Amino acid sequence: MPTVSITLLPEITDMVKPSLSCFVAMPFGLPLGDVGDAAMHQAIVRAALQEAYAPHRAGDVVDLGFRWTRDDLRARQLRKEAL
Amino acid sequence: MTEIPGDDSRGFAAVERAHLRERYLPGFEWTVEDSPSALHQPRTALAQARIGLVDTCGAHLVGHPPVGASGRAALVPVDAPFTLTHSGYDVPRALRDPEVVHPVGTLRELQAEGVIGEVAATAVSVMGGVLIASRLLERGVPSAVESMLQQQVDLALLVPA
Repeated sequence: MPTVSITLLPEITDMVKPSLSCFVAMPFGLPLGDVGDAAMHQAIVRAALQEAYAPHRAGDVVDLGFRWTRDDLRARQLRKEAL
Repeated sequence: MTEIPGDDSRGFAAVERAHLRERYLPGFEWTVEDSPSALHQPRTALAQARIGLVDTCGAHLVGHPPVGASGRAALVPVDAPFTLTHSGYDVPRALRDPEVVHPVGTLRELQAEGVIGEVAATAVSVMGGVLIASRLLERGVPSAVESMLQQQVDLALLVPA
C-alpha cells in the first residue's frame, strides 16, 4: 500500500526505515504546526501527500523545509526540558 | 544515514534511550529494521485519491477507553467525536486544536479544494509511546493495515505525535 510518513526525528526514522518519510522540524505534539495555524497544517499535509507522487527510493527521508520558529519549544523538548 | 542540513535532532535518539531506560524500561532498545519497507507509488492521481489517516496521537472515541500502551489501534470515524489520551506530549494544548495531531479537518479541507479525492471514513490512531515494539507490530499495525485495505485507501498518511 502506498504510504507516506511525516517524521520529526530523521535519526529514528532511519532505524525504522518506512517506505517514504517527510521531515518537519516541529515540536512533539505539534507536528503539523501550532494550535490555530490551519494554513501550516494544510501546507504540511499537502506537501507530504504530494511527495508520495514524486520519484523516490524506498527509505528516503525528504526534508519538507518546515521549521518551528515561534519559540524554543522543540529545542527544549530535544533536551528533555519540556513535554 | 540521512543527512539533512538543519536537522536539529541528531543525537536525540541516545538522549531519549537513556531517558526511557532510566524512567520506564531499563532494557529499552530502539527497534532497527535491516531494510526499508517497499515503496509503492499511488496508482490514483492525488486529486482523485482516497487518503487514509494513521496517526500516533492516541485519538479515541469519546466514551471509549484509550488504547494506552497496549499497542492496539483505535478506529476513529472521521465524523465522530473523539478525544486524545497520550503521556508523551502536551495533550491539553493539542485538544485546543486537534488538527495539530489528528488532521481529519485538514484532510477534509483538501478534499473540498479538490487537492485530494476524499478522506477515508475511518482514521486509525495508536498511542505512540509504546516502548515494547512487538505490541505495536502484533496489534496496532495489523489493525491499521486491515483498516486501510478494507477502506480501499489509495494512499495512507502517517502522522506522528
